[in-house]
Order: sequence, then structure tokens, then C-alpha cells
Amino acid sequence: MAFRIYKGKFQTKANPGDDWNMSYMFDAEGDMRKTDAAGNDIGSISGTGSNSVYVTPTGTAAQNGVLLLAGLTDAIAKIVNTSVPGSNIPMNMYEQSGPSSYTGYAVSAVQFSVVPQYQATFLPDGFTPMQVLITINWVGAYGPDTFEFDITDLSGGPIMIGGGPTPLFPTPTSTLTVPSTLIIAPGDYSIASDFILNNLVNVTSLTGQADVNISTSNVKIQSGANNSSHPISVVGLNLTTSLWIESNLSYLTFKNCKALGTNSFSIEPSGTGSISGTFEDCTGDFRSFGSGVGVTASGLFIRCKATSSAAFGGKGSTSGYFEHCGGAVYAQGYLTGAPSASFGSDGVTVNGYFYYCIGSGSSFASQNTGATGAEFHYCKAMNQSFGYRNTNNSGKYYNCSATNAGNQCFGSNALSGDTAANARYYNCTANTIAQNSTLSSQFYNCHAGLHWNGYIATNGGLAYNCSFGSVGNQGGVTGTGKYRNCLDSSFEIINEG
Amino acid sequence: MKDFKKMHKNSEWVALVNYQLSDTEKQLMDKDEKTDAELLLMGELHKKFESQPSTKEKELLDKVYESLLDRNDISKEDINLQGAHITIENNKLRGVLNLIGDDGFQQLSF
Repeated sequence: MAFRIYKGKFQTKANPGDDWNMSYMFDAEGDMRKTDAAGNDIGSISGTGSNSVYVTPTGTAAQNGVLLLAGLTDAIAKIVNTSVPGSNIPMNMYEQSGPSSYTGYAVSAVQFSVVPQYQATFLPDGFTPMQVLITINWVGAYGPDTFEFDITDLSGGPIMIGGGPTPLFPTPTSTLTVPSTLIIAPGDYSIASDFILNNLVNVTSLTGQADVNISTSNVKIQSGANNSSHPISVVGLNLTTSLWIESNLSYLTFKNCKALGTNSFSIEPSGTGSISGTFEDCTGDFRSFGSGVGVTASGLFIRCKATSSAAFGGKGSTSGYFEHCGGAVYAQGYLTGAPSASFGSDGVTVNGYFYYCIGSGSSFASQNTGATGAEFHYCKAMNQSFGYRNTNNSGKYYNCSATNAGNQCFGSNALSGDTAANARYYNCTANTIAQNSTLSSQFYNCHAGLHWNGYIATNGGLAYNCSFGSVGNQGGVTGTGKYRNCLDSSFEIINEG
Repeated sequence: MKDFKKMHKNSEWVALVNYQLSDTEKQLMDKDEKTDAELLLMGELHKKFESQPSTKEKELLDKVYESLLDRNDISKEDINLQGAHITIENNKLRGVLNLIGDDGFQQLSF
């Protein structure tokens, strides 16, 4: 189901290739009514469609909250499940893993799930039919077209597959699902209990904007809403509470959602896991977007912002993609409003890809206790960012800058020495760079406003075409460390090592 | 439900466990300015959220990982792995494998 607001009409279509074939309008009372193709009012929609439910606020926030939760229940009831009889599907191969156990590699993605034992006709040697008992143990373990199963004859004896053409596989009865959609009109909804999405229900505000104002209880997204064949979207929710997501729900997309409760767009506090969905134009607050101890931000985060600190993998780890995230305003060389201690700060491993993101102080692999292997492109932050007090920094930093002074950045104050790692910095600028650090990292065209005080290039380390700032005070080189074509505070070219 | 991660191509799989921080540990975790010793202690605290997978789990995770790489023509030796994250729930697996390739960031979902 797709929908749009077009020339003042709310239109839907069932499939991407279909025409926009149904329209709705609002009457003088603000109620939604169905229209014909010419836009004429042809009657009330009575709050439901064939597989959608429309919720509109009619009373107090608490009364609306009741309607919203009831609407979710109705939408779940409108998910269409059709039983599909088993069929014989072509297989690429069978791989034996035990006397009666096999991994099946089908020609295309399989549609069935883990099921209890069933009886079927099978041709183990590709020629001779016999009755067998099959139990599907795993589905999708090695790809969407793979499954593991046990197979025996009717007396429980093992069956050897092979000796002829690869036999077709008799699939179990499966279920074909058509998700439903819950459409919510703008308004205030105070929900007395959590809004738990654990089914294939698309949830969207009527306008697509964050104007479904939810308060009192939380929204929880659970694994039943995650389906590779039917990716689900959550659009336009605006929570003063939290929106928590279970681990590894990669087929869910969140758009234009706002949740200001703690750990929103992340695992519920005290839990661990991985936030791997897609997030577009969403706003969170403290420890949002895959943050929290034991949590990894592994999803795709695009134009998302945080209104408080420790976001985007803060206190945890990162491995995902972050584009235009942060939420800061950058004007006339200064940043305001960016979340501090974010983008893998104060956590463990900082991997992934950061593109045009903006943080405040202590951001971007600052004070993390694990390894850093991320790439940072065109990112901005403030003091003590970009590998500050890092222990194992092999990140790559391209065209990044620290503003608002920007002291102690780019490998400064490496903890316990950082001589084995091999970070790379290209075209980066800050007030102070690599302060008090002996590094094997390499710097190319990096420029400090003030100094590289206490910096020493050691084995494999290099500063090439860099300026050491107006104060200077960089150290010398040790081992095979080198300075090449660098400029010191008195405008002398430095070549050492 | 059980979660696993592998953050570098040469690192081992890690099982995630829920660990309840004490008040003292929470204070340390939330502290803004940490000494070097405290930062190292943080590293130890983070490890309390991790354990080793069983041999059987490790075999399964390796098989899933290698199968994903094979299917996408990605070399096990050359991959610039950013993170492999797998959840096992009710005998079904789901997760993502994040990597940086020649064309930038890439995510494989399953």
C-alpha cells in the first residue's frame, strides 16, 4: 500500500505499478470521506479500508489514545494471511550435515518458515518417489534461498539424497501475507499502555509529517514487524516518550519520526543488540539512534538529528552509515546545537561510514575503548573530537574539521600510546592536532591553528605537507617516523626522519 | 533471542549479554571527564556485556558469514568489514553485514 496527498486529496494504491485509484477528502468537520475520480464526495469511509485502518482524534488526548490502540488492533486484524499449499520447488543442491540432516539451496528465495514435521512425496535419487517425513529447522540461515531440514522415511530411518538429478523439494504449506496500514490523523494521543508493533502493519501519519503526538507510554517495535518480503514503514510519529526497537530489524524504515524519550531509536535500556533499520529525517534525544551500553548502531541513518548528547552509537559501538546527521547549525564558522559525545563517543568499537555529519565536543571516536576503523568524510565537531584519547585508532578522516576553537582533536592524547594503529588524516583542520601523542598515524595536508604540541611521529608515522600552527611545539620523530614538507610556526619547512 | 557481532574480519564472534550495571558503574559510565584509569576501567565494563558463543553457535555464525560473502563475491581475506550483526530468535536468523568496498558503504541484510 502506498499513499500520497495530491491536489488536496489523499490517494492510495495497492502496488507500485498501479494507478492512484482511490481518493479521499476532508469534509467541513474534518472527517475523511471517499471521493470518486472527479473528486465528488461519495460517502464516509467509516474509519476503515479493505486492509487499512484510519484513526482520527475525536476527544481528549486520553480518548484518542484509546482509539489509537484500538486502531492498531484493528489493523492487525486486517493483515491478510492466505494459506498456500506446498509445492515442489527446484533446487540447486542439497548438502548433507548429518545422517538425516541437510541444508537445501533452492533456485530462488523460499517462502516457507520453520514448521513442524510434515509428510510428503520425495524422490531422493531424482527418480524414485517415496513417502518421507520432513522437519524444517532453519530458514534463511545462509541466504533467503537456503534452509536446513531433517528427512526420514516413515519409520524414522535416514534418507540419502543423491545418485541422480537434483530432486525437487516438497515445501510445506506456507502463508502468504499482505500487510495492513494504520493511518493516523494529526492530533494528540495519550496512550495508557505501550503501542507495540509486532506485526506487518505499516504505521503512518496522514500527512507524512511528525504530527501524531503520542504521550504517556512508549512505542515498541518488535521482530514480528520485520520481514524481508514485506518491509514495513513507520512514518510521522511524534513522541514525548521513547521509541524502542528490538535487535536487528533491518527491514523496517522510520521516516519523519520524533521521539524525545531516552534511548529512542535504540534498544530499550539495559538491553543489548544492534539497531539496523533505516532512519530518515528522524529526531531523537539522549542516547538515541543505536546508543547505549552493549548496543551497536548498525543501520542507515540519514538526516537524523539528536537534541541531546551521547547519540549515534554513544556509549556503544557503530558499524552503520551516517549521512548528514547530527542536528547542528553551522554558520559563520561556528557550530551550535550539535549533540556532544556522539558518533561512537565513550563507547567501544567505532566502525562504519560518516558522511557530512556534525557533532559537538567529544564526538567521532572520542574516548572509545575499542578499535576505530570507520571512515569520516566532511564531518565537523568541536573540542576533543576525532580520535581524542583513542586507544586503537585506524580510522580514516577525510576533509574533517573541528570548529569553535577545536582543541585536542585528530589523535590527540592517545591513551596508552597508539603506536600500533594506523589512522589516516587527509585535509583535516583544528586548533590543535595530535596533541601529546606519539603516533604511527599519517597526516596529509592537515593544518592546526595553534599547535601540534607534544606530537611525535613514530614507526610508520608521517606528517606530510602539514602546518604545525602559530605556536608550534611539536616534538621530533622517532624510529621510522617522518615529517615531510611541513611548515613550523616560524614558516620554516620541516623535514625530519 | 540471542545477539552476536563480529566487528573486524579477523576478530572472533561475540555474544551479547544483558548485564545490570551497579550504581557505581553507572556513575562511571555517565561521568564526563574520566581519568586514564577510569577510561580503561570503562573498557572492562563494556566487556561485561559480552561473552563467547558456544562452539555450535560459532559454527553456525561462521557458516552464515562465509555464505553471505560467497554469494556476494566478497573475499574473506580482503573484506573491509565494519560489522556483522546476527540475531537468532525461534530458530530463525536475521541481521546485517556492513562493509566498506570500492563503491563506499555497503549493507547486506538477511
